[in-house]
Amino acid sequence: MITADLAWLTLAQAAVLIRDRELSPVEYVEALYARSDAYDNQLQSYLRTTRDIAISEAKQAEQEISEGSYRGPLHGIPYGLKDIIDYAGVPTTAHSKILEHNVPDRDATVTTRLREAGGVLMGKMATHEFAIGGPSFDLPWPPARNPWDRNYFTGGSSSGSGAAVAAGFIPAALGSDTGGSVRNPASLCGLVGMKPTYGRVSRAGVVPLSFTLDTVGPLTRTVEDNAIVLNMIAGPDPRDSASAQFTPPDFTTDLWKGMQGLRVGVIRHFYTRDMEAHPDVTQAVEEAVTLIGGLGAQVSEMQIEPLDAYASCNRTILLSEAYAVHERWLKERPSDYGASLRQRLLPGAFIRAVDYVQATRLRRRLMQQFDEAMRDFDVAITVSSMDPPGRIEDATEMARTYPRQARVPFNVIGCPALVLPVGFTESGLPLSMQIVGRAFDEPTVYRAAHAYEQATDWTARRPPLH
Amino acid sequence: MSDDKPTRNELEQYARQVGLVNLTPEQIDEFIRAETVARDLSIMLPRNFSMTDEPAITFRTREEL
Repeated sequence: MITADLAWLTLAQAAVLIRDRELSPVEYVEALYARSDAYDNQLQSYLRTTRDIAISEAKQAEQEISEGSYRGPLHGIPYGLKDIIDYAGVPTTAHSKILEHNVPDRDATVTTRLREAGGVLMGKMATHEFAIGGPSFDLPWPPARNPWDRNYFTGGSSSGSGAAVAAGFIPAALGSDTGGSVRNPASLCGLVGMKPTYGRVSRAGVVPLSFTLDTVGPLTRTVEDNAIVLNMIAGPDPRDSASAQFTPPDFTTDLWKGMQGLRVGVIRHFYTRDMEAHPDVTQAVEEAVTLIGGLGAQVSEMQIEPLDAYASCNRTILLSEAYAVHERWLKERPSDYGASLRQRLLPGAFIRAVDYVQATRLRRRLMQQFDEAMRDFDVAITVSSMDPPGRIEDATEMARTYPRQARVPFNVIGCPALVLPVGFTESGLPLSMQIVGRAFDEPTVYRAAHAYEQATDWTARRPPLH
Repeated sequence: MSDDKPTRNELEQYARQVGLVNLTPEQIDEFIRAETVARDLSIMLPRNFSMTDEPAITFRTREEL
């Protein structure tokens, strides 16, 4: 098998080949590094490759499998970690001068789980500084760029994770999502990205942004791959006080159940009334909704609170909690932040306690309202980004499009939300939709997404890297 | 802070009060703009004035719904 073929194996395909000893994990790792060596100078998706670790872990996997000790579908599979997630002995910088020399002595819980599953760490991936505030050009490392066109924004904050998976450097990566930071790069890079239910995946060993909003989730090229990775990282963790205390289901079980009979609510007012999405986005999502109806789902419109309510709730909570995280460094080292992040953090100094309390009360009301609305539906569908990717060096366009999104509501209410591609612009940039489920009902979200994916060929397209 | 828009001097004083003593003049400008951002956000935030008791946020499972 030649390098290009290996680059585009799905995780599930690679797992079968590795299990059957038709693919050497070491050769797989070497092929993927050869690809990133050739192209990542254009994309800057890696902050740091971890070649020695990768080769060592791949050799160990190969040895174990040859001895008949196959651990499961992540054994020998390469992955990347957003550089806010700890791997013992490897710097976690959060893409910031503030943590430039930070070397953790312990794995994040998600890292431990990936290591125990036999995964192979390829490197730490670019992010917006401290998972918010980019794209920035005044940090120790440049921002990642979109493989579909390097002049365009990857989305963020899990920008390197999105770029690397889309470019075929790795089949899977972990990101974090506080206001859409898994789903934004997945959307703009043409990937599948899952923000699991709050509490489903441990955040222990992950640099926090906002304690009551932060989640960790996978970015992959297919729905099945995404469910496989979530299987490995989900579950209770005593190191994370917000961790849900029950054993998760197998997220791949419902994948092949199809769309027939699912009740699908379309939250159309998010992108037609609360904000007006770009016509390309609206058309692609509406075509997807029509297809989903044709696959046997019962599709009808769903009404919840306008986007503004979610946005102000999210920002009030996020700014307050992020300021608490960063207060010491803002006092001692304000000039070591990039300007974009510092400007986003400083409003936290002015958020009044009463506003934080009111935001928390509003949050609870929004959660109750969504629960009630979902009594009539199995999943909800809406847009992810209101616009196709913008030009990364056009600060005005970045400022205009960054807040135009419908991801934040599902951080506020905590339920699972997945994005997947639904088409491309005329110039070949990815378009995406969002599928949302009830709290802890990721299996139904994956089921709907997989049924749609199987009926289209969007996830089979490849970016034109030269 | 008063309800009226604070002056630059008041905001510089507030920065010192909250320990932001290392801000450069350009960063003080950012701090002043941040006050406007937070003020606008506070105005936008829907408010609940009811006296109902508020239990903590919890997430319900699929089985409970």
